[in-house]
Amino acid sequence: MAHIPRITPLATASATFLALALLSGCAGGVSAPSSSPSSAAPSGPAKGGAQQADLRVEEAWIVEPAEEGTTSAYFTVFNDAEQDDPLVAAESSVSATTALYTTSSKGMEVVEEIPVPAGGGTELRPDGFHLMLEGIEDPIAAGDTVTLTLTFAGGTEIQVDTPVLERSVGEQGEEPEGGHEGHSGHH
Amino acid sequence: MSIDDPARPVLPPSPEQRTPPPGRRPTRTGTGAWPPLRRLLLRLHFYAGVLVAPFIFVAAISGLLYVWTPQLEQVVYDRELHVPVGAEQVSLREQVAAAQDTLPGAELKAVRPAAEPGDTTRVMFHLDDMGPSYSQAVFVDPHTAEVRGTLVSYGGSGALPVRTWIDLLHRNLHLGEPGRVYSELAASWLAPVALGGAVLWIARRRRRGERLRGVLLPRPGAPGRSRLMALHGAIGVWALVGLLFLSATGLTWSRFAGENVADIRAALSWQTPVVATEVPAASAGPVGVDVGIDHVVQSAREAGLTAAVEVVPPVSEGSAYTVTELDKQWPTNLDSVAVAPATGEVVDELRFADYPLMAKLSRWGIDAHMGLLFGVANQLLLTALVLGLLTMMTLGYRMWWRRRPTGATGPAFGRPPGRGATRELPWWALAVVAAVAVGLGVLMPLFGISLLAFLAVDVALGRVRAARERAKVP
Repeated sequence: MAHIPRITPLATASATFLALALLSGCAGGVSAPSSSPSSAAPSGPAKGGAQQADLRVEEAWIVEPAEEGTTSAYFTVFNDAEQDDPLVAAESSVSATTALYTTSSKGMEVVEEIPVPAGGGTELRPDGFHLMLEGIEDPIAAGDTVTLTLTFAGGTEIQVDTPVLERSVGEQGEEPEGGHEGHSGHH
Repeated sequence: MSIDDPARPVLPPSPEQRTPPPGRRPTRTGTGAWPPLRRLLLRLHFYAGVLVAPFIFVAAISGLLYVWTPQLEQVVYDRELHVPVGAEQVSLREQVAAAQDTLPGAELKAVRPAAEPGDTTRVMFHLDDMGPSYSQAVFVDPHTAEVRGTLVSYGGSGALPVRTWIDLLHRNLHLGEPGRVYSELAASWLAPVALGGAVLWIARRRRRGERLRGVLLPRPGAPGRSRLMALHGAIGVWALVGLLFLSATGLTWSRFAGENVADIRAALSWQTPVVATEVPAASAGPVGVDVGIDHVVQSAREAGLTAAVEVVPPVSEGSAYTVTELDKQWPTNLDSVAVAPATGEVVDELRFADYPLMAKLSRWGIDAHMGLLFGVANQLLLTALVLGLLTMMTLGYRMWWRRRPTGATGPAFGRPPGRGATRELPWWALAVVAAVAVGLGVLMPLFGISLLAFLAVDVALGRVRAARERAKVP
């Protein structure tokens, strides 16, 4: 007589599990997400910039004056040298004086210099350091370009062609600095 | 005569097994708790082993591959990870700038400066279309600031694509959440199957009068099933602690059991601390000033972080750079400091030595599971464990195959151990078994649910068979 094995339900179940398990194990494809780099330039209106020696000025702009004769200027300066090189003086082509200010809890006050650490940078902004252009005789408006001359402790003088922008337009381009908190899980 | 009669437990024919003589029915008080408990364990071990082993096969093989991915990555991504050793390095700021030039506008996420001579610096960016654990890693030669390549990096380990692929295979078979549930099922059952099997094996050897040697190094005896079982049992006992460890640590990653673990850790304050990233106003220094990443790394080195580190730039206004060590190999170096951007001063620090004990154990457990804690020795030990596990499962199926009746007709595989043992357990033993099952079922929900489902099907099938038998007997 021929041996006719009867396949028990249990054998069928386990064979099915085994097959499914192995098949699904083989089924994966490369699952890394697409790696297209994000689109090109930072957003916001064009701002002024210049570079000399180891100093690099970027994102320079002047606020359209709200009141006659006075306004602020902002920019970011990077120092690629080995020594700190603070900004010690500034001049502009439209104002009588250009002073270095900082914003503190007591309000705005004049400072002697704006620090620019070696290997780092300083961002001039409304809640921190900024330039005050005072004594502007001919009124300036959004769309004009002003020449700022920045003098640093190490002797470098940089001239920056700086656009005048409405405050809201200029601040809209400001991006939060730094990176993205990304550590997840425990591995 | 029905061989499925629950009153007569049917055991497979083999010399070591003893079948009660026909007609004698063990009473509750007569023979004690062990024989029915043993049959229950055997039945559980058999069914669980046969049904869950396929899941464990996949987890074991994918895990074995993962254990060797550190070496694999070094070979596959040699161009990105290694450069000729040079004399001087350019500043980290320049290296980061070179990387940023390849991805203008991308958000900088983290930087891993080159640690050893011949390594590259890894600069990681966040891209909008990436999931939270992923980043775009740009590899830069620290001597020339030349970009060596770009790869997708995943997770805190910074896994590169091949390793990420194997990692996901192990976690969820690339099937997303259902796959994760599937691998949790395997991990949940591994512990009860292994423990039950160990108990059975030790009891078996003791019944034969053998002592420890019989458990760990049995003489194979006659060829055939008993030799297979000797290997299966001995490997199982040697591997038991390792398997329980893999199961327990693996479950911390899982969805259901992992949530229970997280809840327990939260309730008992066993969680892993994190360094504070907010800079207190008093130490913040002037607004808008940033000392640069080189100064930050220097401050971290001076604070005692000597291993390879990862630097995370400030994520928002008023937050600090965080610098964290990356050395998970014993002795673990995972200290982190927070550095104020304007002053370059350390404003908070977290030393691994100050972690709560449970957080340290958890960290070590995870790193040992991944084969990181003890370097190559760890990897070899895991390899041996997995090969033992694969061998055991294969032997289990072979034993089942060998038990098949070789008569003219009958089942293709051996019959499962008989049901009905629970009815013969003393009430107190049954209570203990139920309590253990419920406890495990609550801690590992997938174990509980699948056990309940199995019991339901088993009871139903038993009733169906009993009804059929009653119908046959006139």
